Amino acid sequence: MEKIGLTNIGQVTMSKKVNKWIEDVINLYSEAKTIAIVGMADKRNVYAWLCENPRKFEVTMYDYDPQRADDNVVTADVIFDDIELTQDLIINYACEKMWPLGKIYKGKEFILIGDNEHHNGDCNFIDSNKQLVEQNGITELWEFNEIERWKGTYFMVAGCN
Amino acid sequence: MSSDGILQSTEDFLAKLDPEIKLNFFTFKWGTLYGPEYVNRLYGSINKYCSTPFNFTCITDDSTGILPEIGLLDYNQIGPDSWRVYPQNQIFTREKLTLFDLDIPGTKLWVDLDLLIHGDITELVNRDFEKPTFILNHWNIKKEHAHKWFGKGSDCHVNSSFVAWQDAQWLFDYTDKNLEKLMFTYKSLDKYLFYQHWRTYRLNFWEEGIVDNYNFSVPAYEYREESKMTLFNTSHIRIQRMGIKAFELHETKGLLHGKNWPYKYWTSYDE
Repeated sequence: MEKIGLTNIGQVTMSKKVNKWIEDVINLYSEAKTIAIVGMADKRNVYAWLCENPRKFEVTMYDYDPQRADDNVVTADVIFDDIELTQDLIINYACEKMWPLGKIYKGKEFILIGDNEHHNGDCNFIDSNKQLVEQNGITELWEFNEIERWKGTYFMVAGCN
Repeated sequence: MSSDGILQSTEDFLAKLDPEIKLNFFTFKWGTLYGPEYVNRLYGSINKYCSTPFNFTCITDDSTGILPEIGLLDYNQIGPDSWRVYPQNQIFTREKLTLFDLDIPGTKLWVDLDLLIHGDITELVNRDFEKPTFILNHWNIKKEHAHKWFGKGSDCHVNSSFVAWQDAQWLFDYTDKNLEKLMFTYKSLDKYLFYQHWRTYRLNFWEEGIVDNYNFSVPAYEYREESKMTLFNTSHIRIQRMGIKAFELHETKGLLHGKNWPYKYWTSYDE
C-alpha cells in the first residue's frame, strides 16, 4: 500500500514550489530554444510545462538511472558518458550528485538545484547558493532561492556562465 | 624468490620477475588494520589451492612479519604521483587499479587480505580473461529492490576482492584520464566500478556460487561446499549501521555452532 502522510504532502508542496520557481525564471530571463533537463528522476511537471509552452521549446531529459528509462529520456551519465549537452539551457535537478556541469560547459544558461541532505551517494553536498554560483562559474546571476525541507535545504540558482 | 624484507621499487620488481611464470598474484597491505598473518595465510591458501606455478607479491608499507618467500613491492612508490595526492576517502583502494598499468605477461590477479580461499582455484585462474573479472554481489543483486537506490548513487553490487585480468590497460587509462572527476564523484573503488563500468558492460564477473559472503548470504555464517572463497567485508555494514551482526575473518575464532569454520581454515594455512 502506498504511504500517505505528511511526508508525501510535504514532498508535493516542495516540488510545486521548485517547479513554479523554475517556470518563473524561464519566463522572465531565458532566451533558450533548446533545454536539457538533467537528473530529474521521476519529476515530469517542468518537462510537461515546457513541451506545452507556446515558445515551443525542444526539450531532452537525461538520467543515468535505468529505472527512469522512457521514450523521452536519454539514459546516460552526462558527466562521464560520451555525450554532449548542446542545448541553450541546462536544468540540473541533482547538483549534489555530480561534478559541476558549469565546469564542462561554458556560455550556457543554467538552472541549478542541489541540497545539503547528505544522502549516501552524494559527492557534492550543496550548502549555499554561493557554492553553486562559484562551482559553475555563473557570471550573470538572474535569481536565487532557498526552500527548506524537513531534512535540509534546497538551494537554487539561475544564470549564465 | 626471497624478499629479505626489502620493499622493491616498481622498476626493480618488474626487472626481477621470472618470465617463465605466467601467473602473478598481488595483495595490498598498508596501515595497521590487518597484521602480517593475513598476508602469510592468504599466500598459504593460494599455495594449497592453486597447482599452477605463481608469483605472490604484497604491496605494503611495512614488511615486518611477512614470509620471505613473498615478494614485496613498496606501497609508497606504486602508481603515478598524481593518484597519490588524493585523500583515502576518494576512491578508497584506487591503488589496485595501478596494477593494470604494469607490463607483466600472462594472468594477473589481486586478492584482498580479508578473502578466505577454501577451494581449488586452479581452473579459475587459468581461464582466458577477455575483460577484467570481478565479483558480483549475487547475494544482493537478485533482491526485489536491489536497484531501488541506483539513481541516488547508493547501490553497489560490485566487489573487488578477487580480480583477474590479462590486459586491462584501458581501465587504468580511463581512470587516469578522468581522475579529477572520478575522485570527486566516488568514495570507493567498488562504487566507481559499479556506476561507470558495470553500467556500461565493460567488466566480467565470476559465476554465481564461486564466491560467498559470510555475513550477507542467507542464511549467514554457513560453509558452502560449492563455493571456493568467502568474503568477510564488514566496514560498510558498520559504517552504515545496517544492524547486521558481522564478523571479520579473525573474529570468527570464538563463534559457536560451527560458525568458526573460517578461523579453522585460515589458521590451517600456517602449516
